[in-house]
Amino acid sequence: MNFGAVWPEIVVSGVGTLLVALDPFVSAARQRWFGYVCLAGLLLAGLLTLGEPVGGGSVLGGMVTLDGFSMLFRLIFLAAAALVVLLSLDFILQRGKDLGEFLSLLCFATTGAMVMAISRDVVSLYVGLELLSISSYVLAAFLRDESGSHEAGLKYLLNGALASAILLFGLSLTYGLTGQTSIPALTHGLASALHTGYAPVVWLAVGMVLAALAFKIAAAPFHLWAPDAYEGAPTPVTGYLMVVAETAGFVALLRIVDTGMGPLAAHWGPWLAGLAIFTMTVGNVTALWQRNIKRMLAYSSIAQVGYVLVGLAVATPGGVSAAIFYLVAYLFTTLGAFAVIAALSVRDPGDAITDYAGLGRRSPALAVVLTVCLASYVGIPATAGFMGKLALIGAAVHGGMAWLAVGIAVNSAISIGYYWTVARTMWVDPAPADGGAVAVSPAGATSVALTLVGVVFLGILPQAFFWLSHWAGAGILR
Amino acid sequence: MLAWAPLVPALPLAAYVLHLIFGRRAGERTALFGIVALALSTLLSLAILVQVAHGAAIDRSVPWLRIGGLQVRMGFAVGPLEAVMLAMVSFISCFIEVYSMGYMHGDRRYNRFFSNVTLFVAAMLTAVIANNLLLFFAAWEVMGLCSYLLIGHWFEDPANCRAATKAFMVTRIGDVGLLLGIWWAFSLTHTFSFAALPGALGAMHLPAATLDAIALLIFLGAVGKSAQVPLQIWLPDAMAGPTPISALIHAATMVAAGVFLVARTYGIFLLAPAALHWVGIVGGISAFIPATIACVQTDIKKVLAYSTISQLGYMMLAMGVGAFEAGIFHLLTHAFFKALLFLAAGSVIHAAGTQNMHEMGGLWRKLRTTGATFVVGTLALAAIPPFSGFWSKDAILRAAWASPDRALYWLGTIAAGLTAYYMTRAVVLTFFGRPRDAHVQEHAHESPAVMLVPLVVLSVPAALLGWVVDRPLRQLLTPHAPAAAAAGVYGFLPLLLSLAGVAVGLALYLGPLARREALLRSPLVRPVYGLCKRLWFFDDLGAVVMYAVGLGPSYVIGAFDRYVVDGVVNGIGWLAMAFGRLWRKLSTGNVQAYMLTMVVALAIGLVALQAMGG
Repeated sequence: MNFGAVWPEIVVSGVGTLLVALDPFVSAARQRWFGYVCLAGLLLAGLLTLGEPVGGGSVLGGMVTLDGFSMLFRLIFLAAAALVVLLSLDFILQRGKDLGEFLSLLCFATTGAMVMAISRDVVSLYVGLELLSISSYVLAAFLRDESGSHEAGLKYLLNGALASAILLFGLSLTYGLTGQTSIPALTHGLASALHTGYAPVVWLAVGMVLAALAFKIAAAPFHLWAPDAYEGAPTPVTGYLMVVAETAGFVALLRIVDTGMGPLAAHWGPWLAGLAIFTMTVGNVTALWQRNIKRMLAYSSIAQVGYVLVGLAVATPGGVSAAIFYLVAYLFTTLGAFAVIAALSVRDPGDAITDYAGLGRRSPALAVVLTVCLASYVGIPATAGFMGKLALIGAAVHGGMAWLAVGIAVNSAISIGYYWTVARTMWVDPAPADGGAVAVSPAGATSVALTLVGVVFLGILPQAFFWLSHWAGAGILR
Repeated sequence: MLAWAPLVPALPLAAYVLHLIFGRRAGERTALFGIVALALSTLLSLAILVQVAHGAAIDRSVPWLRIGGLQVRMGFAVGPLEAVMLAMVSFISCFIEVYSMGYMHGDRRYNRFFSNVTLFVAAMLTAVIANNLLLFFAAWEVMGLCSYLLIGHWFEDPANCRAATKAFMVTRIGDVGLLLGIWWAFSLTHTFSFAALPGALGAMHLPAATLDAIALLIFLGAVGKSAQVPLQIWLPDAMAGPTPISALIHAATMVAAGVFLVARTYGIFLLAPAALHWVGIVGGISAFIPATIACVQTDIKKVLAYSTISQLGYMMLAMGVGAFEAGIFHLLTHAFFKALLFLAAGSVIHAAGTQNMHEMGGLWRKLRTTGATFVVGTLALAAIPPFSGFWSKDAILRAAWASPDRALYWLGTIAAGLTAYYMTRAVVLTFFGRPRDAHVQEHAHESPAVMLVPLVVLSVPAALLGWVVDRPLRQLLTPHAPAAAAAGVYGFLPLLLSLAGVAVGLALYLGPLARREALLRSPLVRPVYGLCKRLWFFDDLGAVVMYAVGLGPSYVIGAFDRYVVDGVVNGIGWLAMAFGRLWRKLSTGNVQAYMLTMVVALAIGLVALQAMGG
């Protein structure tokens, strides 16, 4: 067996194991260097990923493929994990928790997401998904003595287990229909099963896989767990779940549905389109009512999922690459917002939007970054979100689904309402009397700066990432 | 030299960055960042103007991004129109920043003021040299943001915040139209380029209705920005900002950007004659109605604000009757004399401590320089020869007479008489007659030199520019246009009415108060006076529309701008919120309910898939 292909996964899970082994021997207060070990491991894994040949062939008995898609998404997951490590160091240490335990869970979850990115077989993909999900359940409940975190973990676990069961059921049906677990083989097998009298079973399988993955990405009406889990989870974990867990859900959707069920696109396309419109609308209109910033961003992330689904629904190469680009834009925007929120909640746990009053005067730098991220969510020019929406709208128009483009435009107009509330609170409302300047640690400042650079870079010079997402998405639709 | 044109906006942008980094430490010396940068920009743009006058032009772009087979390019272009605008904007903004050093002296947010002004100028100059609608729109939005921030500069007073929000909301209505127009044109032609769009649209043989719709959507953006009827309601309120802002943004430059937009996309309007006619109609109405309102204002800045809407209306009118060069000519002369008037009014306010003209009177003795420059500005605005406003207004009305729609000529001509009247009224109430308020009179003192020098400098072009550049500008903008048609006696009518306006103003306001009160009681004047005083019910109409479309529910929950940012969102917002409430009820926090919802949704999906797919 040639394990060379999965060295990055081996490194990341190895770092996780190392940290959990060292954890009992180092007191919680002295674990800051664990974070740097973890960052070094993630960096090494990134370099190993970049060093791998991209052939598109299959390795490890056909379980794994090294194409542009797996390369890009591995790097996305590694970058997101590294940013989350940076923004969580002080958050966890300040609360006197075991950093080693936290980081090892983060490493295992990231390994799961990376396995999903390289899988070309539904079995390995499912295993990766479960590794990600189970680590995530524990991460959500990481602050054991806070009831919100407890509740978040439990709700996430119960709903997630149901969705996993449905996904497994759907995948077992596809296996029954085709006798195959390899994704490229499914592509042909399902199409022929459709013409041999098994059509009802095909639709059952497609419907179950779609519904289960819609749960994983928190698309409405399968999103109800998400706001509770995202609100209660520790702030860095919320950012991680919104970015890595949702992006991993999209990886599964792109691999299983777009590639594996590609020939049936004419049937599932309209369903995804409906899901997209419904999701973005539900996310945006519910967000209008939120008073807690994490819960508001939870609904906002649901709306963003709706936008990305547009790229999948049109089922064209342009749509796939627009969706991938939007996921990258979403990564920087969301982690930027959460870097600010985490920096603020290191000492001060207030998550109400009113707690942000006067932030423009208390900490102009953080307020500017959060404002830029909100502008990117809305889609204001010169931010990543604008370019992402431009690409998605273009894909929808070219794919003959112009009404989805209108949906995106109307929804981003609605969304101004709640993003504006936060911006106005920060810049116009007076600061509370006891609110002094906010101290930000070097690690937190680094995460804030990196995400800001990402958001602005993608907004002004998006060409390189347009090209990358085009390259990565090239093999998805056949 | 032309290849260096991007430096013209880049210099103030660099100054903006310096403001951000060093502004707090520099104290009031921070103003120098912007002033030095703008002085350099002015020199550079004058050099560019000289080259362009000798026939040079440039249009450069680089590939910027590729979306699915489409290539979008970014770049800049400088031709005659752009060169004239660059020189005007950088020159005026430089002197307004000098003036602001005096006017804003001791302000709590001195650095914030200068950094926002400098950013605004950078955005305006970027919009001018942009060679495509995308960059233009981005700069246009930054201008709107700066305008919002500067109107609300003294945000301690909630009225100022309301004015800023109103300006932002109303102009956003126009921006939505503009954005739709840009997208529509782009989806048809796959280009954002100003130079390529008209040709590409013209070559497609589109139905006239499509071209009209695209042109009118673009014009909607101009209507919002240039405060044309019916979106004019934000501009008078915007006078809540510091007076140099009123001079720079809300008189000379940003509000003229709407006219500039029409000029820049004039090729599209030429393809859509019906839309172009509407530009003229909106312009004519906007020239006339605000002129009547200006006649009854008591706040000196409000008089100038309504007069700005009216003069912008003349420019749109010129565009609408095909007299492109006359519209730009008026834009240019107006920028100088209106900036002068606002700065002089600022000097008066600075001295008198009030904006109410009825509390002034007799200030001439105390404010000689300010008074003299204000009178120069008034003569220019009232179109009395040889002051600059005469030449440009004359060119517009001659063109309107030659156009098929002579109603536009009459609207403009009557408004010319009204303009002379209300400006005479303002001068007499402010500077002449007996002092009506002893306290104000005692308090009044002439402004410092740093404010007077820009006044004197600006009064030179306000007086002479029209006469000097009349012919060269026309040569530069439209070299092959035929000479203006002779309009006979109708060519002189506007001048006669202007002189009559001055005469009536002098007779009424130098005369005793009792005569004016008697006039107001007459049944003929009273209803007209009421209508003007009530602003022709436009603000009431605006309030009703806003309320009906969605502010009503928001008032009820006592959160005016908490959920609502712009008028378009209002309508959707109300529905959206009702829907959102329903969803919030479903999100009860109960895990079983969540799972049940999921399973039911799956079941419905599966049944539907079976029914449709199988």
